[in-house]
Amino acid sequence: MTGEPHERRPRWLVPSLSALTAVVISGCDLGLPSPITREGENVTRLWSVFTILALAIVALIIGLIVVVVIRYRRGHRDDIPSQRQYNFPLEITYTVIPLVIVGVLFGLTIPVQENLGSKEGAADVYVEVVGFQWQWQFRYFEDESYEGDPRIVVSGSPEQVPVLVLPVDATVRFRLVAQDVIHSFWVPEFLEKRDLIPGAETDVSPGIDNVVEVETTETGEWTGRCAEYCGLQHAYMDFELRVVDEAEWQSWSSEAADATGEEGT
Amino acid sequence: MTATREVPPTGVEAQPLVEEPAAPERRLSGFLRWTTSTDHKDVGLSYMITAFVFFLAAGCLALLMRAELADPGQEMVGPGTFNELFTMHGSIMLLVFLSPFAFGIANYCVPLMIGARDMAFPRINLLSYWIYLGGGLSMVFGFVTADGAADFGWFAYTPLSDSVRSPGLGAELWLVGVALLGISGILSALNIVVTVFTMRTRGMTMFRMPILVWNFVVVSVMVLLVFPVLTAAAAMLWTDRNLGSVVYDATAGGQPIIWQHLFWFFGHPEVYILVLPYFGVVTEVFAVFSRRPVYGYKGLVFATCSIGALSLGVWAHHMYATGAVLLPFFGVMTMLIAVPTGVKMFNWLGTMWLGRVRFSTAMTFAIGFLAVFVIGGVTGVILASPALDFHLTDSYFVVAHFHYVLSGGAVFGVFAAIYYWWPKWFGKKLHEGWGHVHFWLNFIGFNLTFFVQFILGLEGMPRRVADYTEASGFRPLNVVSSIGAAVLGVSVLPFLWNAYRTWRRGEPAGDDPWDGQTLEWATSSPPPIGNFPEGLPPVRSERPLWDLKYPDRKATTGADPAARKATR
Repeated sequence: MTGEPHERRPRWLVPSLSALTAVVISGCDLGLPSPITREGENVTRLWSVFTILALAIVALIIGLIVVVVIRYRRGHRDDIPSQRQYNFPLEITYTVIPLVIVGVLFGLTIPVQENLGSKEGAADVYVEVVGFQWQWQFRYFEDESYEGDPRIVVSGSPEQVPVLVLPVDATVRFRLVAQDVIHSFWVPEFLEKRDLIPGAETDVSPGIDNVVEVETTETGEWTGRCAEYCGLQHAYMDFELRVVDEAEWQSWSSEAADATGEEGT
Repeated sequence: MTATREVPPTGVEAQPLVEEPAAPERRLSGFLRWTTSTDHKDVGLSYMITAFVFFLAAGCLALLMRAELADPGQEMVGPGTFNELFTMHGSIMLLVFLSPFAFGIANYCVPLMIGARDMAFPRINLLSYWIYLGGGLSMVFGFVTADGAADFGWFAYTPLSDSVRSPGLGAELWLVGVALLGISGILSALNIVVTVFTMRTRGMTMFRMPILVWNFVVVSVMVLLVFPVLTAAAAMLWTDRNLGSVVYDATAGGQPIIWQHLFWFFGHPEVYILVLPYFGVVTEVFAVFSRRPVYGYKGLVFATCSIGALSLGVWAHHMYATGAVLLPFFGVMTMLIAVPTGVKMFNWLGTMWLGRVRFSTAMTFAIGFLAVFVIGGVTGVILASPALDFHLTDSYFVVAHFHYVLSGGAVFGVFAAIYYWWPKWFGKKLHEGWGHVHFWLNFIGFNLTFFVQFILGLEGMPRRVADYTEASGFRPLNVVSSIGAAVLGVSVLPFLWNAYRTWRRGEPAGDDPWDGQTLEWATSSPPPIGNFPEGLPPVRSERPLWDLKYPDRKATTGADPAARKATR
């Protein structure tokens, strides 16, 4: 494209691009829900890098299209334009630059993804998330072996969605278990989800990582949903997440443990 | 002005291809022609018309879904019917519309573009059409069975698709349909590969083939590699359901996750199988309506080949959230596909750059394709990052993304192809004014429908839900999306009217209405059986017809001296 007649950079392109970027950066979360976990905060940062870059690329391409549409419309110039077909340096440039961008984005992804997957040391709370058509059950265990009877069991009913209660500022480890078909455990404000795969907790399907860990950072109430299509009532397979402070957690967990014990006997 | 507008008659330096049939041409018409003609043009049109009817049907299913989702609560259809609607919408659009429509274009255009008389195996060609029609109908017939059509989503994840959770006849019909469509696709792909490798006319080297033909070669090779995997996976699911095998049954030692690997090993290349033909279509359209050669032709061919190769190594990016795949490998492979795709974008822009862009309807659709496809592309890179995909997967963000790629990208390509080749197919031009009405309704409706779905997905709306609560706050954007869908639905009407009025009283188009560059414009519209009764222009570049018309304005590798002289 360089070295040909008609070459003139449109004057409005650069200022409008920078204006767009400014608007976008000031929008902070760029559409994502505010995260309620430590892990989610990293996701938000990664999301803004990806999105700003994506918007810049879209703006560049649309901008070039607009230039073509305005400057190179046929109109009355019914002649034969330049038949130049190759410009090797230019082609190399627009191959290498995307390669570099992809390399940078991949480099930025890796640490966030490792952080999302890391499960080191002991957690404060262990919950087994059980999904079945079309309900959730939350079983609270003492340690990561998830063996023996759970201390607390929370179930839903047709009238009432189950409530997943968690303490704030605590590390929570979820083991995801499906009893029939595949489900997916998603609290949008966690900014991550994982599937519940039948057989993942057994030796039959080795290599399926069905454990997720989050560190809660905010108290409040949110809606969780099943994100993997699981049949007739998939749309209604919701649960409630309630993150509470330490005192409330203590009173809730002892009450719930008593209630679970009574039901068990 | 250097070039004259006078076009020498085609057939100077005629090359006899094969000896002409001695018997005079006897063409059947109507039903008999549809059922028995093995002429590649007839089979191609059968494919395209059938696929377009399926497109309209699947579009109606989508309109029903959008109507239901315009408001929280159940109004028109219950969740059971809704699940059938999205399953069949996806299955038809992907397997019964987009891919077969592309095969229709291939059947019609590939022999013409390489100067051949017909496809290599004309009877297999007709056979594969009938297998396709049977497969498509068997899927759709699920709607008239007692339990309704298949309702496990178009990727039919096990164990939801097993005989316990999806016992209906509709599910069986769906599986049979998939197997038939797979076989039909394999036969078509085989036919295209053999045709291109063995039936090119003299002078038509591989690197002189139009980009569209190149893309069909890559697509056909991909089809041959991955369709058998789908057919095998579907066969195993069928035996699980009917003969008591336990390939995917976790309770008996099988693994449900295997289905996902097999399905996506087909399913992701399938996305490129769907979209690459339309990349080829817009490449031809950009060049012709800019009066330019395809910019960076060889780079474009290599970009297509590398997209094809990379697409075989990215299937598990659909499975990040399963916790069963190696995230960094599939992440980097998926992101790498953005590089050749970006190269294509710049090559298309380079084709139009310095050109004389004429906004015919075909060109407008092609430019619209470029504008929406870039959004589908960059959101694809976002989804490729496992760290972001954990939030975005299975949400409406994904729905928006793949509609930007397939509904915006591929379907705009379908219409670009229709407006571009209609004169060749039927000898009459579609009306340009109605064409532009069609484009703008389509473009506005499309963006209104799908852009807001990115935001809905970010906010936490899962895909494939028949309903949502008032408290979720999803309502306003769903209303916008449904209004957009209505506009999108209406946008087809000007097209249908256009087709009807052109059929009734369209002007004859002539052999070469667009100042074309490739061989299909060097014969009559529509071409006779045998395609080139008067022989072919000599093939000395990838633009034989252009070279014939403008012998002193061949493509140049460096700056074009003739252009400088002309503009000064």
